[in-house]
Amino acid sequence: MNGGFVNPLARRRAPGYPEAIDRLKAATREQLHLSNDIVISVTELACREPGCPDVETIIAILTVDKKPRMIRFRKRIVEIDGSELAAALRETES
Amino acid sequence: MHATLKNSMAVTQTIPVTILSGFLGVGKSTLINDLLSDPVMADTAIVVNEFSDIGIDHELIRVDQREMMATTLGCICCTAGSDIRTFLYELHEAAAKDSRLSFSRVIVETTGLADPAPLINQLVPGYAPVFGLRDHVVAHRFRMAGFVCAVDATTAEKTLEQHFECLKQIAFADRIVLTKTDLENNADPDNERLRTQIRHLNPTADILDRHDGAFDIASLFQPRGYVTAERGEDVEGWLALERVLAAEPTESDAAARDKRHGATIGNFAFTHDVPIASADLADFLDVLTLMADARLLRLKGLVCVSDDPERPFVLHVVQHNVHPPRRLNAWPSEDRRTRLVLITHNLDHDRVRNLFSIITDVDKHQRTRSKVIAIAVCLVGLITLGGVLSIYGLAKPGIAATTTAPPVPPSARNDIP
Repeated sequence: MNGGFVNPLARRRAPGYPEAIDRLKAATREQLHLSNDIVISVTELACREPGCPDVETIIAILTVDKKPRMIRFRKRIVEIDGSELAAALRETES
Repeated sequence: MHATLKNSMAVTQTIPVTILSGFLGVGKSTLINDLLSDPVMADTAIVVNEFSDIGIDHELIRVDQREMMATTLGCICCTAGSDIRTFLYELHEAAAKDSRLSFSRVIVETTGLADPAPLINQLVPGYAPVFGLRDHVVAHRFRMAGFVCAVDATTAEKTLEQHFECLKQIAFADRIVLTKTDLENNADPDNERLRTQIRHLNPTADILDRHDGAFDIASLFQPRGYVTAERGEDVEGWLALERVLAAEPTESDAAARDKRHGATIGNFAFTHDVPIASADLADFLDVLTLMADARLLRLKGLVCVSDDPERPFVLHVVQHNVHPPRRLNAWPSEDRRTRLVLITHNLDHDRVRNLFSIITDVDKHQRTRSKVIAIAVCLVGLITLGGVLSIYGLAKPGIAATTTAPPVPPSARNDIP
């Protein structure tokens, strides 16, 4: 057991990438009513477009024999909250 | 027929290529050194990829006459062109021209920031377009034969929180080796929590402990089939998405390369011609790690120390961990300058250079004063930060109390003098 000193000023452990990716995938699947055989890929890349922020998150919905649907956010995976994901997904549906 | 192609066709077996990945400072080069000391690994060609303008890793890896080594600068995953194919083709060409340079396997050590997806797409047949003679030769002569990911048991949890590349590297691996499990600062001595975390990202990879008595490094790199479908849905998705993105029109290759890891992650290197006192080196590392904190991802270097300039120090700093400098018996090459390479996240490079100059270049009296000032500035910064955090923590209930308190009636307000 760790009985070491606990720093009261220490930063609380932020949810990391694994949790954030699971959350984004589950919310996407639920909101778009996607079956389990459709692959949702969440990745973080440097944005390739001039003038963009330096990091971009892409949520891609990959269906066999169809062009992938991609939803882009100009921020890191861990910075995307549920409401902006929901808004972006609504936009793709419209 | 092209002479080298003719030679290559005379050889029937394909050459296995194993990828060694892992985040910055996990101990990839140490693994390569251990591997190369095993006689079974004779005839191995090593491709070392460094995320820097000045190469150091190639001098930290011992290579005798049996092995070949190529060093690449810049991140192999960032290059829009198929550089891994170029390196393999050049190795093949060298062996075709001179039989003394023949090799029977290749190990590619990626930079710690490498995204595996572009690399794997280049190596797995059918995943990326094949152009010209070079790509055809590589496709016929080489095969992907495993993906090893090294994971630092002392820093993995924090790294996984902050760096997406680390997660991807783990997910692509078919074998994962935990390093630094013998260090005392490992808060999870049995690594159970880390293993659970890795299992969540990659349920099928073998997880091995570098310091387990039964650990066999040669078997870690034993060529085997690498099937992306076995790596799970995420890996297949990332590979597919990378292919889609690769087909999109992009800005210039150079700009894309610079931006792949984001503008906040950068590397810089500098050299120093004059031997450095050991005490000054220690001071530099102390102040640097205090000043940079999490913004320093990695530092590595060769340092010419004044007490014995013929025997340089090898430096490794991984995030906040400064590993004890290791003394080499001799310089690995003719270049006897001090060389430091830093990989940073949002860190002002000029401040680091200035700090190094202050500590190493000025006279003793001024140096002592500068060190005191530098440490004092860092301490004031920390105290200020602590104060702000404390005020923030204390202020929150007060704000809540103000907003929930009932409004003061006008009559009561009139009572106030």
